[in-house]
Amino acid sequence: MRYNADGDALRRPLLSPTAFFEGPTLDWITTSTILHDLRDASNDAAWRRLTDRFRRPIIAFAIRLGLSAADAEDAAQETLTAFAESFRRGAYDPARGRLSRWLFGIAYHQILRERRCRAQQPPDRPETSFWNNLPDEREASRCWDAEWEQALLEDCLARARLEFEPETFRAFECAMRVGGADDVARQLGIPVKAVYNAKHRVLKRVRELRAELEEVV
Amino acid sequence: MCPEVDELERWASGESDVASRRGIAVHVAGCDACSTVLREIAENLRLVAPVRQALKRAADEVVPPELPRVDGYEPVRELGRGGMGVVYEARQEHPRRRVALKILSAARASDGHYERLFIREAQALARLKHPGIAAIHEAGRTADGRSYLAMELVEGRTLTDYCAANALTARQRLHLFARVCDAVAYAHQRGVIHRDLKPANVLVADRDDAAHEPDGVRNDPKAGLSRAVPKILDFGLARILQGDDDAPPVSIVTEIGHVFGTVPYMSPEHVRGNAAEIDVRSDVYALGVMLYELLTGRLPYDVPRDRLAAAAEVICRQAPLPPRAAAPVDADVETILLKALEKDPDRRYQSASSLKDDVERYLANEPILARPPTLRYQLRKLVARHRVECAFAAALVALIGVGGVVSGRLAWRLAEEKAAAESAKDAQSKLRESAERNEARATQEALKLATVLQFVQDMLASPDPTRNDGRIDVTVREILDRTVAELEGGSLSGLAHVEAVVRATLGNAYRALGDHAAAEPQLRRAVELGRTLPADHHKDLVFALNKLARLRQERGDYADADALFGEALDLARTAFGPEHAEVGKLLNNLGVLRWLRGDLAGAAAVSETALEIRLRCHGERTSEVATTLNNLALIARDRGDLRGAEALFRRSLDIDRTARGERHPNVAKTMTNLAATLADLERADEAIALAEPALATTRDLLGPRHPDVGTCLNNLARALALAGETSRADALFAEALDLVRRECGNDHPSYALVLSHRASLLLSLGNTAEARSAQQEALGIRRDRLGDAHPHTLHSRYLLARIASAEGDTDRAAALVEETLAATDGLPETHWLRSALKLERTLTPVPATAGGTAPAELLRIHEALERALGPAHSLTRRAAEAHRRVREAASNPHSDSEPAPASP
Repeated sequence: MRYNADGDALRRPLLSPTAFFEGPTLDWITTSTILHDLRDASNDAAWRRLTDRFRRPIIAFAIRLGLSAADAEDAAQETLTAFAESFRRGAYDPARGRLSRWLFGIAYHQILRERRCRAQQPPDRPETSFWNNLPDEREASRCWDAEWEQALLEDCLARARLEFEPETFRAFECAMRVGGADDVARQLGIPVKAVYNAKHRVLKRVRELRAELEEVV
Repeated sequence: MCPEVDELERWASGESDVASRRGIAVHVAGCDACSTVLREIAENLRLVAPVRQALKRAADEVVPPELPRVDGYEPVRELGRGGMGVVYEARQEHPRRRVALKILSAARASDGHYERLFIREAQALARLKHPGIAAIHEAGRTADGRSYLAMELVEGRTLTDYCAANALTARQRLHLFARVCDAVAYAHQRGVIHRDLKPANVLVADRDDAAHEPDGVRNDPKAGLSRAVPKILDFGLARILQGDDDAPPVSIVTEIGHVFGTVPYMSPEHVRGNAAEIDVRSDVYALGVMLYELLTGRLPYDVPRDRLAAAAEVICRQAPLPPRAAAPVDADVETILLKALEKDPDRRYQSASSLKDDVERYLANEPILARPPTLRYQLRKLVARHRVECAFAAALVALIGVGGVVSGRLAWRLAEEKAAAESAKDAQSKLRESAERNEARATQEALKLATVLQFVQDMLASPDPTRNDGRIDVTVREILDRTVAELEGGSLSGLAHVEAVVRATLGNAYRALGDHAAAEPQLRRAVELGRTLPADHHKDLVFALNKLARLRQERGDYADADALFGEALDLARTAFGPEHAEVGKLLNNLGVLRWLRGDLAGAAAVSETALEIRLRCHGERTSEVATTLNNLALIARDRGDLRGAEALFRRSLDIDRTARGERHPNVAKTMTNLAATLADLERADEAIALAEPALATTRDLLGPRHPDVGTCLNNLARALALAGETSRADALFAEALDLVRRECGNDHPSYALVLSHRASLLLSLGNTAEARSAQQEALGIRRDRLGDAHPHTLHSRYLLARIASAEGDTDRAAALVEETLAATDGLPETHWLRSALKLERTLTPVPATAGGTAPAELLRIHEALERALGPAHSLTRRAAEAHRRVREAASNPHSDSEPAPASP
């Protein structure tokens, strides 16, 4: 197994006249680590990791609840800011519920607030009725769980991609997209056995990575 | 031999051929390893569908994020985002150039604080045109109404990254740093303090055009840095010093736990959260930390970033790690660093240019101006103690005391310094241990402190002419009312522990202003909030309970006050331990309450315990001990122990004169109390010597209308009356009555006190009718407010008996004496009033008792009065005279045995 994550090489150059961001790193940071570092209000890297990991599912969730992409981004930003602040205040207690539930509560209410704001403004698209389409909390919760799981899985896959030889991961990816191992083997010009092995190893590793996240989330 | 994974998966999926299927089944049944692999395969297969979906989505997510629309600009890509907003690289249309667009997020756009930060940054940058500072091109609003700043796009690395990436030598780093200092000095000259200087806010770009050398920096060609141009960024927290009238105020502490700035680079005055203390020297400190980091690769302290209070403790108290212990730096460089990092701003470089000059002197091999700290200085350690409530309440009370008007900004002194002549090492080690021990509690306290102070500072320190009809001066009352309105608007909702402290302080301030009606709801709410808090916030509840109890006490709701003090005491004993200073304070207050209630034995018991605790916690010669001694003296006086009271007052005065200084209201209070006791003892000259300066000081410090002035007037009047200055005494009594009636009401015990003493003066002047009227009024008030058995009520009854006797109404006098004597059960046996009443009985010739007093009884009365009041006191002398007559009558049974009528 090759651990080739090199955060520095993958960083975007600093171009901005602000200093709060340095671009994503791909170090495998457990959620526990993120939360630990987040206690330091001045730790820009912790904030970045928090947004790297959790912004996407919140945006996807917000869009599914009817926000535009721009509003969904704002909602995600607000959700994460509110979470970071409440976390620093010690409001999040893992014993009282999983992190995903906690974030769901903040995100859902943030999105409702955003929609209320939008509802008070002249609609860009008169044919859209936000309120008629709003899922109830139970439905929203199901939506959230699906988005959350997807996002975590995506993180795990991104991490696994770095850990395996490119050929191995490509075989796994093909097996997932194409289906039959024989077809993949033929397409990639590798033995069928190698396809099975790649699929087995990568999926197993993804499960392990997912379990590491599960510790906290 | 075990089948391989592919065979097992095929088998598990039902895809294996018939021939191998049976063989695998048989093998797996007996093979643990294969069973494990099969379980893994089953779990893998369950993951296939979501993984397929995730891969698909990842492939789909190559759509670029939506870019904002900004007139005149074409955003190209997002550079980054943070809590405030997003920064984009954009192309400006006119003139055609690349810029950085900093756009406030939609949600923050509606938050005045962030909007102010934006405006502040634009205003700061508009003043600054320097090659070492990223320039602002324009400020405006996006199509959807969000503020934006169009700024110079800096393509570079942070200062530390640049140094590391280019493997700069120490001298090269110092050259680069001098350029940063130059830009900071320029900003300071233009009246702008950055307040968030750190390596991440300095980007270093390599310019092709080497002509962009900042002015005033001696370029060292050997340094090889002619292409490096450092640019200072992010003036969002900047403070503008001059011509700041139209600049919106920006707080450095706005959210709980969030002091704006970056902790490791914050100066001691910054990390304490006190914006008023921050000046250019705070930037000098941050530059010192940056240089330390550039040269040693580490920070001067191990600052815990997640615990603000602990960080403050380290920054304010710990000595920085000597630079040469961290890296091989020159002694002169170490001196420069330590001078820049001085905790006391007065000992730092006084400007960024002085720092730069010393760096350049070093680079030019010239002697630097900074000198190492002297040994004496090194041995001095600053020990700062936060006194959250005291500082907070004292500031308000001080405001009220100086006349009720506040102008401009308030300077908040939160820490007091004590020089400790311990070795630096020992002190540092002790401080560290103490810091660790108190870390958790200190964190909470500092966060609360920061929030509370900022909240009140916002209310007090920035009078807003739009809200004050254009006035700059605002009365404390207006500020308090406004603060209450802010609270009712939910300013501190969700921060119950902070709201509890703020409301308690507000309520206390209203109480100090005499507005009990306004104080009551604030204090009650503070207590309600406090009762919802977890045990680690019981200090806040104790604070609120104490204030509410004092209010109830002042309103005369003594039973309620007693119960509230009791609750506060129970909590304080549990939370802090039975010997804690807070317990001492509560017991002291409870002692005063019990004294007011006339429960003299109870008052003495709790006050004595309070004294013991305060002696242990604060030391003997402290204002706390002086206060409790004064209270014990008052109790002793009411228990009839005038000499004991005198000794206690004198001890209190001796301590307090040293602890608080001569000109302090409490010192004046003890002086006038002692004067009153000396007047009781009929030592007029001594009493006047104390009462006169006490009156002058009290008037001076508390203003002519303060109720304490009434007490001082009364006590001086009594002393003057004793000395025979009856006209002056009468005028002062009249003034006292007028003041106390106006400030406290004509049903207040203080009013009764003055009435009663004035009645005595009238009696001595022979004006028995007015004396009786005044004393009866006093008695009525005392009965209502203090109860029948209170020593003051009994004293009024005794004096009425004396008046009746002087009027020749012996029946009434005798009846009053008997009634009063029957009510003295609560007084100690040795109380002088008991003896005085008994004496009065012997001198009041009613048929039932006439001639019935034995010489032995009068001897006992005489001796008791002599012990209590001294031989020269008029009562003692009357008793002696009565004893002499009775004894003579007894030795000569044919003479007239009737004692002489009492002279008043």
